Amino acid sequence: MKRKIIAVTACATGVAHTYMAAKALKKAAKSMGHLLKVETQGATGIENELTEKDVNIGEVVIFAVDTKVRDKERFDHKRILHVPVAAPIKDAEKVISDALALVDNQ
Amino acid sequence: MDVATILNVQQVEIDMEAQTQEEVIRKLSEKINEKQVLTNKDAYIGSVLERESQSTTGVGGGIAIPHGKSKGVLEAAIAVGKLKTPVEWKSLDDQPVSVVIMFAIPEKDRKDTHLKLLSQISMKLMDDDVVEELKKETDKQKIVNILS
Repeated sequence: MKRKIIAVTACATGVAHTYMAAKALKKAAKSMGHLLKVETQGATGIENELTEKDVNIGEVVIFAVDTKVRDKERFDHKRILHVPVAAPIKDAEKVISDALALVDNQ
Repeated sequence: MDVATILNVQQVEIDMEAQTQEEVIRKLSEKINEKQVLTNKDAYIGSVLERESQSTTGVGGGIAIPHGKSKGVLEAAIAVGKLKTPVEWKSLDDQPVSVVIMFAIPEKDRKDTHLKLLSQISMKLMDDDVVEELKKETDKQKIVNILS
């Protein structure tokens, strides 16, 4: 069965890394055979917002952020991997593996 | 997507000569300034250098996307420089940079189609084919087309 991961990306200026990190995570998840939905919190607002259902389904949450996550309380009680926004741009597969390890090793 | 509203051939430079990261940033800010979207060029350059000091914008593959958000910017704009010789950028993959795409971002967050264009260009740069094309291409109009 496909693993289900949710993620939020955000950076200080909200126009570049937020979207590059999102794209990198989606690309890596696809090649790893996992399902991943990523919400971007950029300068033009929140896009592809994670719904309550998404949050329930997601096994683990990735925060790839260099700034505060908006509406963070949605993810209370979830396991969260917190990394800098550059981490998935550098190696998204590693970020996803680390996130899954967080729930697999509990 | 109409990238022409924020990037045209006048803001693309091929064979840019620069020895350092700061020199590249200064030269590209001149290019952006030609569009008359900067009210305070030095403040804008300061914001770009400040952003670099927090973490590198060298995203790997020889590409960097320096950017600054400043009151000195009236309207979102972009300039592209292809460097004659690669420059050290403390990139995520430790490789020097040969293609630099620089963004100027106005201070205030808003629902702005220009900002959306910048984010769409950013996403394109995660596509290996786009990066390879950018590195090879020497025609300014074609570079604009690749990013469109």
